[in-house]
Amino acid sequence: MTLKVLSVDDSRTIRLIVARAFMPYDCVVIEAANGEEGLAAAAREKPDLILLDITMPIMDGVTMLARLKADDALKEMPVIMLTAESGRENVLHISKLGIHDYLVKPFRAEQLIEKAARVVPLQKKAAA
Amino acid sequence: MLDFDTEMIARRFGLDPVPESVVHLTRLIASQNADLGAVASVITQDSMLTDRLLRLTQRGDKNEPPADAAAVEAALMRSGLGIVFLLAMGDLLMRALIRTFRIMLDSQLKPVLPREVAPIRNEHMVCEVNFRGKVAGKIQLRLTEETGRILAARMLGVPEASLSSSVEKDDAVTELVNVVAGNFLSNLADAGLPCHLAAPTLYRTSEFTMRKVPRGVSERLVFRSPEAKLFLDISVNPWSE
Repeated sequence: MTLKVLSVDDSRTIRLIVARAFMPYDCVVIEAANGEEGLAAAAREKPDLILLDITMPIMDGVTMLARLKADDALKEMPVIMLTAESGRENVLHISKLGIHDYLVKPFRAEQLIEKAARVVPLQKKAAA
Repeated sequence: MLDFDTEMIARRFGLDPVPESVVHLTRLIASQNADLGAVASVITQDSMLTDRLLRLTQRGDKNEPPADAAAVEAALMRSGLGIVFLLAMGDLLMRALIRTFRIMLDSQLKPVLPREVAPIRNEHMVCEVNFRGKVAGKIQLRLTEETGRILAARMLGVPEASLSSSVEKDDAVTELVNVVAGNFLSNLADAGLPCHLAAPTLYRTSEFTMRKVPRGVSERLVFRSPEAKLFLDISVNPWSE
């Protein structure tokens, strides 16, 4: 089964890096540039995993996470925070909102895949 | 400052520890009656901090006697404790930049003395980010267009020739600075100096002088890797709050 990964980050560079990291796996990466777009994509696409940045224009990642958790239809979607913010107090606050993991930028693609694979059953694409 | 819950969460998510010397320094100078001798003692134990202090206080001359606690204390008395904030913050910023290059670009960046690297004499890229909170300041990364192109290609894992527009390059350099600044600010928060970060802005200029914050102390940090030279300016007003 092809998995859906939603990458919510205002940086096109990070979205490209994420898409490249998941390329060998049987999944599609859906992109959103802020929390508002991310919520709409989550409701529309029902992703298996959400990768969420914090600092974004229009709606930040913490607000999106809180709204996700307040919505019965979306609250079970697993979220991995993918952000440069690693201040302990901030991480503690966010973890209490309900996340599966937290990956601090800068990150290596292998770290991202390792954390994602703990949450969803990633399968390598079959050879053509 | 940090309690059991925060340390537990740091272990769970594999967060890096804040350098002990920096935590020590910020705690010392954040206290109402900072002991100059104690601050000098922490700095003297770190050769890089000592070199930077003496360079910033115009005593980096090779003919001077070796730096000892007395020399460091004298430099602190000449410059005031604001310079210690700059030392501590510059240390965190350097670590964030070097780590970001190592992890995201697979590149070993080395700090070098400013006089060892020729300045950029023509128009170049500047990515600037301001922060405000317990302290206020500004970070600027300066690099040539060519360096920007190399870094963007590395970050995206594509050949340089495939970067079709400056938009990709600008976005990559901006994100690079965003990651460095985010790490830096997180470490500052853990060291007891929480601040908010503004969104980075990128522009081009031929002006190579540092842009300082009002009443701030400033330093230019210079780095080299096999493929790039970078100038990282930091300006801080520790008494802004």
